Parts: sequence; C-alpha cells; structure tokens
Amino acid sequence: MIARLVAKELLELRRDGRIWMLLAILGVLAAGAALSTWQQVRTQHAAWHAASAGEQERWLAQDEKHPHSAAHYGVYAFRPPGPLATFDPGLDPYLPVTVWMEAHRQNEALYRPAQDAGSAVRFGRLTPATIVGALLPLLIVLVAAPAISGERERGTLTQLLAQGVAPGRWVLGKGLALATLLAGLLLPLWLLVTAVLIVASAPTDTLARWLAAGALVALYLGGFLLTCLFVSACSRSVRTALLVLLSVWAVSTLIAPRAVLEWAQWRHPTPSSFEFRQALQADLRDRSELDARLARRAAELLEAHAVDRVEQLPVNFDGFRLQAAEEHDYAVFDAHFGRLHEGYLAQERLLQWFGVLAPYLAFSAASSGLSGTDLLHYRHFADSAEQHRRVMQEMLNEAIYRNPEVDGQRYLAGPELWATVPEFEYSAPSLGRIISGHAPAFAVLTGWLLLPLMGLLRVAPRLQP
Amino acid sequence: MNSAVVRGEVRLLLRDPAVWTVLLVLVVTLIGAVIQGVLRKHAEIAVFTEMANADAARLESATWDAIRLEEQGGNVSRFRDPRNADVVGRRLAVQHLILPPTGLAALAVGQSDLHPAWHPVSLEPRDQLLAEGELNAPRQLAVGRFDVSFVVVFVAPLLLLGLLAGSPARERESGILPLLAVQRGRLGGWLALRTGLRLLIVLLPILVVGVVVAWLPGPGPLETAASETWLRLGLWGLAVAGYLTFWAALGVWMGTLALDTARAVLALAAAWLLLVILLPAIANVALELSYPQPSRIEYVDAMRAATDLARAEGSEVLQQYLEDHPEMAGDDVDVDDFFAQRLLVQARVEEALRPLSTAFEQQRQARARQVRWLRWASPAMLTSEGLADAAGTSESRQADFLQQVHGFHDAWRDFFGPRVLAGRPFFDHDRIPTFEYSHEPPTRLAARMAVVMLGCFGLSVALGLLALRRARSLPKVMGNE
Repeated sequence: MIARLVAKELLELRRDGRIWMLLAILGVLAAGAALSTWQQVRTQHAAWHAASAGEQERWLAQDEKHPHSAAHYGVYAFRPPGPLATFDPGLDPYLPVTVWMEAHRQNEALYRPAQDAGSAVRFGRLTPATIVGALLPLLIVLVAAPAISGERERGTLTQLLAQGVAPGRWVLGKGLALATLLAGLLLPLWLLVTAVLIVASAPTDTLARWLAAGALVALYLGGFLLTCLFVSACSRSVRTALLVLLSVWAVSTLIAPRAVLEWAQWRHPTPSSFEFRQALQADLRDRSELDARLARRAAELLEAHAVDRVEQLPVNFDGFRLQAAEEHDYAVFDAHFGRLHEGYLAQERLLQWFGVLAPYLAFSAASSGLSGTDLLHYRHFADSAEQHRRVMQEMLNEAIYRNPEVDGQRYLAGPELWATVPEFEYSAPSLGRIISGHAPAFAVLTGWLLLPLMGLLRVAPRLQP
Repeated sequence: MNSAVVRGEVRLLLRDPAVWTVLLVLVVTLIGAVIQGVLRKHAEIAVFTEMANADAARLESATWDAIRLEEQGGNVSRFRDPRNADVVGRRLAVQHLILPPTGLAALAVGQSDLHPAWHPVSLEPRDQLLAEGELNAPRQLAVGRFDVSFVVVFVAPLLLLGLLAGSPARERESGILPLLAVQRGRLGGWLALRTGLRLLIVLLPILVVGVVVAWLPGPGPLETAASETWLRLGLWGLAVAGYLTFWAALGVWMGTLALDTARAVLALAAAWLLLVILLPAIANVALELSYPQPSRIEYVDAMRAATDLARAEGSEVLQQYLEDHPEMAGDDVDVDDFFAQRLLVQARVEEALRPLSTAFEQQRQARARQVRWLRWASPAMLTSEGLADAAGTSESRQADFLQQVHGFHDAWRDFFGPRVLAGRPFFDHDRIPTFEYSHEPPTRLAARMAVVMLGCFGLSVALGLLALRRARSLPKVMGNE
C-alpha cells in the first residue's frame, strides 16, 4: 500500500508544473553559484600555490647574512582555500589570507578578501551551500505545507479516512514521496561530485568531508521536511501551515543569525584592535622575569667556562638571549591570541546552540566546518603558522648560539642554514576534530530531525479531518 | 476624499490585530537595533578618544625626553633616541587618523566593520599602515549586524506587505470591492488612502527612531557637527520613505493583478524573496564571474619580490634614487647612515611597487564601478547603500577618508624625510603635522543620495500609476468574471 501511495504522490508532484518551474529556477541558480565559487576557489588555489612556492624560493635564495637578519626577513604563510570551499565558501571572504612569521612577534593575520570586494558582497553570495541551506527549505515548505492541510481543506482527507485508510501509513507515504523527490534531486548531483573527487584522486580527507557533508544535508533537509509535515498535519488550512512555516524559515535564515550574533558579541565581546595591541604591548614590556633568567644563565655559563665576560664564552650568548626573549613572549602571545580566538569560538558555539531555535544556524556552522572555511580551520592555520615561526626562530637562534664572533667578526650563515629550516606546510585538521568541534550543531540538527518525527508519530495515527 | 471614509479606515486599522502585531514586531526590532547601534558607536568613540590621548601622551613624553637628554646628556640607543627624526617619525609621533562618526552612525554599520575608521600614520610603508584593521569576528562580518538599516531593508517590507495582505485582491474576494465601486468617490483614491495609512504605520516608527538617534547627544567632540547630522537625517528619512513607498506601490499593484488573496500574498512573498535576497545574491555571482576581485595573495607575493630586488641593489640604488630625487638629497645626506638607507630603500620599494599597486587599485575601482551599476538590480541594494551613505558608514565616505590619509602620509614623509636624511638632532616636535579631517561637501552626499531617492520614488510612481490604472478598471474586470 505504501508503494502505491508513494507512486500516486509522485505522479501528482510530477504533474504539478509549478514544481518543475521552481526546480528549473533552482537548477539554474545552483549551476551559476557552483560555477562562480569553483572559479574563485581555482583562482585562489593558484595564487596560494604560486605565492607559497615563491616565498620558499626567496627564503632559500637569501644571501649570506646573520641568522637574526634572516629571522627578521621572515616568511609569509598563506592560507589555502578549504577542501570543500567550492561547496561552501563560508567565512572565507572574511578571514585574513596571510600572516607574516618574523622574529620577536606573533603578527595578526592580514587582508580579508571582502575588503576588496565592494559593498554588494555584504548582501550575501549565492553558493551551493546557501541554496541547500536557505532556498531548498523554501521549496520544501511550498511543496510540503499543503501535503496534509490541503487534503483536509479540500475535504479529501475525510473521504480517505472514511475508506479505512490508515492515517499513519498515509502520512508515511506522503513523507516518503517528498523524500524521494528531494533525493532524486540531490543524490545524482552528490554522486556525480563523489565520482569526480574519486577520479581526480582527491585526498581521502576531502572525500570523507564530502561524505559527511552529504549526511549533514540529509539530516538538515530531512528535519525540515518532517517539520513541514508535522505543521501541515496540525494545521486546519494551507494558509496557516504556510504562514507558520514561512515564519520559521524567515526567522531561521534571516533574523536569528544577526540577532543571535549580537547577543554572542555582547556575551563574548571582541576587543578593538587598539585595545588588543595596547594590552599585548603592556604585557610584553614586563621583562623582569626574562632579565633574571638571562642573568642566571650568564652566571652559570661564566662559572662553567671560568671566564669573566660573556664575550669570552665559546658560545654566542646573543643566541641564548634572543631565544630566551622569544620563549618569554610565547606565554604572552598565547594568552592574548588565545583569548581573542577563544572569544570568536565561544560566539560560534553559542550560534550553534541557538540552532535549537533556528536550524539554519547549526547547518551553516557545520557546513562551513566540513568545507574547511570556518573559524576552527582559521585558528588551526594561525596556530600552525605560529608553531612554524617558533621552530624557525629556535633553529636560527641555535645557529647564532653555536657560532660566536671570531676576531670581532659576526657569524654569517648561508644557504646551508636556510635549507635546514623546514618549509611551511599546512594541512587542515582531521574530520574527527571538525565533527567534535561542531558537536553542538550536529546534536541540534539531530534534535530537529527527531522532534518533528516524534510529533508526527503521535499526530499521524490520530489524524482528524 | 470624504472625511468619513478616512475616519472609517482609521477605525478599521485600529481594530485590526495585524496592525498591532506589525507595530509590536517593528518596535521591538527597532529598539534592539538602536540599542546595538548606540552602544557600538559609544564604544567606537571611546576607543578613538583613547587612541588620540595615547598619541598625544607619547609625543609629549618624547618632546620632554628630547629636551632632557639635550640639557642633561645621557646615553640612549639611536633606535630609541627621541632626538632621532626617524625614531620620532616612525614610532614616537605615530598619529592615528580618525574618521569621525556622524550623528547617524548608530543607524547603519555599513562598511565600517570591514574598513577601519582609523589609520596610523608614521614613516612605515603605506601598505603596512593601511593593512592594520579591526579584529571583528569573521562570522559577524559574514552575517551582518542587526542595525536599523537591516530592519528597514529586510524586515520592514515584509511587515508592510503583511499589512497590505494582498489588498485589493482581498476586498475583491470578500465582495467589498463591488460595494465600494458603487459609492461616491474614486476607487483609486480609496486605494491610495488605504495604502498610505498602512505605509505610515510602518514608516513613522522608523522615522521617529531616526530623529531620536540624531537628537541623542554624542559622547564627545569626535562626532560631526549637528547641522550635518540634520541634513543627513533628512536624506536618510527620504531614502527610507522612498524605499517603503516602492514596496507599498508594488504591493498594491500586485494586489490589483491577483485573482485571490492567497495568490496575491504568495506573489508578494516571492517578490520580496526575489528583490531582497535572490537578486542581490545573483548580482554578486555575476560580478564574481565578470569582474573577479584582485588577489591580495598575488599582491603580497609581488611585494616581497619587489622588496627583495630593491634591497639587493643596496646603496647603488640609493645613490641612483638620490640622483632621481634631488629634493631628498641635501648636501648633508649621509648615505651610509642606517636610517637614511632604510628610508630611501623603503621609498625605492614603494616606487617599484607603484605599477602593481596602481593595477590593483584600478581593478578594485573597476569592480566598484560595476557594483554601483549592480545596485540598480534591486531597490534593496540601492537603499542599503543609500542608508549607509547617509549614516556616514558607506564605502564612498571611507574612500574619501582614505584619500585624506594618503595625502597626510605624503605630508608626513615630506616633513620627516629631509630631517632623517640630514641626520641632525630633531627638536621640531611641536612642528609635526597634525591631521584634521575635512568633511565631505554636503552637495556631494546629496547628489549620491538623490540617485537612490530618484530610483525608489521613480519606481514607486510608475507602480502606483499602474496600480491606479488597474484599480479604475477593477469593477469592469469583476463584471467580466
């Protein structure tokens, strides 16, 4: 019976010209969005690749110089586009693209692409993820809102119940038909992209992310479909069902993100750049502990080597001094940048939990996470760059330490030293870490799937005409 | 129009629960948006004041230190010496140039969260100075702020369309329209009255909010003058009125076309979705495909290559540079001096980078021109830009400020450059240039805003005329049904 019900519903949907028109519009929009994001990511990737290679080349091609001059010359780390940025560019336009790794300081990352994009970009861009997250739910609302309430309004529900149709099975048939329509729309596209990723030998991580993105979309749209059916089952008229569901959509995609973020900003305020730097500088200025450490170490070395001045040591004390200063500053940088990033992430977590009221919030957070275009990835990149900077400084300071001045001549290092410094290579965090970082979003979306399902299980068998 | 009809319409409105619901939603969202805006503006001004105080204190301390060192002597590293022009121009006298918020800044965030309203000026390279920015949370930048502009552009049209509720299709469906058609007076007049009253219900609270924000005392002297605030308020109010009038006209016109209320409401919701969400998003896709934005990664890459080249050429280039720029080369220039070398190599690097930065800026400008055209794709885009402009948070005002920053940076270098090259002790602390923001002429702002108003009011008039024409023929249409 269920199969016949599904077939009948699908036939009706197939005969509805409006659905075909909406699907055609959505198809054109999706194609345009995918083409535009693909083109942009391709360009970004080429620029990132060329700049990273150029930077390494420049590092290796340095002339003979004191290692500390090379430390000041530094290296720029460029942030690569996320593995699935074509699907969801997420926060990419608003995240800085590069950070300069130099001696003495952990620099703030620079240049958000949106700064050069013009004001129009603030209206939001059409991407495959926004089509799935914001526009497809609208299609579901339009198709699913009249599914049960329409039959009730027309009086056909009374006839069906009078004929002895089990209402629970009938609702199940409706739901399966709508799910089949959605799956018929999305599954071929998803399989096509999966095949392309396999043929193009995409990294396993990218493939795993794409599989997870598929599950996320199924979870989100499934929840939306069940919510629509539940509201439709509870509504006396199509108009009421449409009004309720369109309000849910508008609040979820339009009002809630801005309102929740204002609240998140109030709960976890981001400092102004000026305040941040003033506080950082104030902490960096306190060198009393460092001076004491340097004095202790100098005394130890002088005693061990039985000399009077550090210049007489068989090692270059400047190397130790520079490294000690770096290490002293690590704690300060960690505290200040840590607080800044934690504030951002706390706002993100709050946003994900508010998905309880507006599922689009949870979907967009999880989707950008899986695509590698969210704050978690950005922080991972910034931390990796800082770790690299520290390794680089340690190696260069070590070289200074091991090479004291000879006859008043400073040690000059050459390409052999530059070659020992590893190239900055960034790899995105693992899928497991992303999923655990977005656990609130996944939990909330699961709730959005289960709650209307439970509601339907309760309402459907007792359906009233 | 008969006053009894007006009174009747007002009575009907007062008894309509939808009116009170709309008012409640509007007032709540407006209050939230205004609180956010006012707090944001106060916090911003507090930071600006702190910046200005820190700059003044640092310079004053450097001045006294220089005098003390000169009078009492003492050992101090050349890299910290307040008598060294390079140290003063690069660190001790750093000045934060501030774009003062207007009296209406609380109404629209505009582009002010993306482009800092301040820039430090020193002897450091311009690229480095301009790269400094605010730390605003990326998610908030991506989503946008809950400001009054958002309420006006996104929420208010929905509320207005909700109030209109497919009128006059609803009246036709309920059978009121034929009754009205046989009354004295024109149907068009009745429709205009009905729409106008509903428009006022949405428009008035927004205008009141604008007046309250303009009237609120600013927290300090960093704000713009009151006269400018009232001019901006006038333009802002006209832009809001134009935008909402457009939606009212569109609502009525679509209501005259639809056969029943349900279809009219659905068509209006679709129009809102198309004009406020889809068209701007599609316009962005088209922009990205036709005018890709310049890549900062490529720019940084090229900048590094140019810097290397200039550094590698060393003092030969320095000599060449001084030959090319005799105004920088006094008799007493010591080319071996570290500070002189650094300054000139920096100038050389900037010169080498000029073609690149010019090309980057040209690409940016070309894209900005396209954006200006694309605004016409949707009244929402047009109005959003206009509201930001009136509030002083638009990209245009930011670009004007940036021009002033460039000019001041040039003046800074002209002042410090010869003094650094001369290498003599610096005691001109009190003659260091100071920045004064030059306000944009009101005519320029009014001209930009006129485009917005012309667009919205023009469309409103066209749609209104179409609706009135259609309204006149409604009884005939009904007769044929």
